[in-house]
Amino acid sequence: MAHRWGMAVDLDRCTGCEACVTACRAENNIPTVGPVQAARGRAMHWIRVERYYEGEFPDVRVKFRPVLCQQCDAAPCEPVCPTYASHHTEEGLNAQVYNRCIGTRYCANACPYNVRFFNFANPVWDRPLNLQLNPDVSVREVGVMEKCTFCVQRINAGKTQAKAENREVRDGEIQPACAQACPTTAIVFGDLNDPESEVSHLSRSTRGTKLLEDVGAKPKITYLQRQS
Amino acid sequence: MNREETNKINDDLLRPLLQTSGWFYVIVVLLGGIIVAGLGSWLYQMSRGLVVAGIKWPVYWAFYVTNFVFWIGISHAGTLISAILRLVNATWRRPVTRCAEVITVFALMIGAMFPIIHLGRPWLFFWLMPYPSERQIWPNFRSPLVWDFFAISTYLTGSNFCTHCLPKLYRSSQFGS
Repeated sequence: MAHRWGMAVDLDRCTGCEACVTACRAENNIPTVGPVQAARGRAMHWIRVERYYEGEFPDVRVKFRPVLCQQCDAAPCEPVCPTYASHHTEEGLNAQVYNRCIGTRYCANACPYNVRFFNFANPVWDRPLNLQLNPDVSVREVGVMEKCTFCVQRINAGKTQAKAENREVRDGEIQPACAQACPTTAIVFGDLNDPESEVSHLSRSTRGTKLLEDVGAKPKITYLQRQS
Repeated sequence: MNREETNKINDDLLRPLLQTSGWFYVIVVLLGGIIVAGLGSWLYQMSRGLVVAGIKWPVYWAFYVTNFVFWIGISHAGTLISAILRLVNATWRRPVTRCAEVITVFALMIGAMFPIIHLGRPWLFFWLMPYPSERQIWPNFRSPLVWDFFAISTYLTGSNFCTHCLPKLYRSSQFGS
């Protein structure tokens, strides 16, 4: 049976440490843009931790929400791309073909979650970050859109390994960088087509909600939080 | 209207096309300078990326698309004026209609530049057009941007042939020779 990769993020566990943000940047060769351009809104974070403050001053509670590409089943970014750079894979991933992208930026405009990032300038890595580029991930050119891939290079490596050992992919064997780095295991990744996988159990939880569910994009990431 | 009178009208009409003064070349240099400056800025934008265009996350479309819409609007206005004057059969309409039709065509050509300048990788703009490539990849016909291309090309063709712009140029070339 084909895989259908999904994710569950337990917001009650998230401490907002941003280890996922750092791990993602290291894993996926995301260029840095420097403080000036970052202040002008050109920073690229495939995953970001949004902060929400609840309550009045002495009695404040901060809530964190890691937001990454929701890998929507009915992704608004896909039909608008004139060159099929943004397309749906058989495993339900929302793939971005960098070589097909001509930079119309229509997908980013259509995305309700603002998780698509554009290479406004030529990508640079401040020393010594240039020495740690991941050879499994292609470096994107200026003028190309990029976004979270659910660490597709790790998914493919995991599937290849399982095939070489003549077995099925085990649940929890494949982990994207954010899930691997999460100290509280708030981020759980797995196969939604396997009803016994941990992510399937969590996705059926009564604590589960989807981000901007009324948009109708059918995201594959479930956010778990205490329902009050 | 006798033949002599017709010839006089034609001569009056074609004089600015056939005889040019020094001012003509001054204006050519001025406007050509603007074109060169624009091309230079575009090359600069291509080498540095859209970072120089002031566009940022999460507002990915800005004044290039606004300019496109603006010039298409100007172009529509030209067609509207010319069409209304034709429909009500106003006898005084000729010079106004000609102006309007010229505005239609040239505003459209200016407008059509902007979606290409707007691209992150404008040297690949032809991927927006349906052409039989060796990879057999066609543009995504569900994308409204591809229909932008069809809209512009249809409108350009239509306004060139159906509003008698080309026939008029042809007639002036006949008299000029």
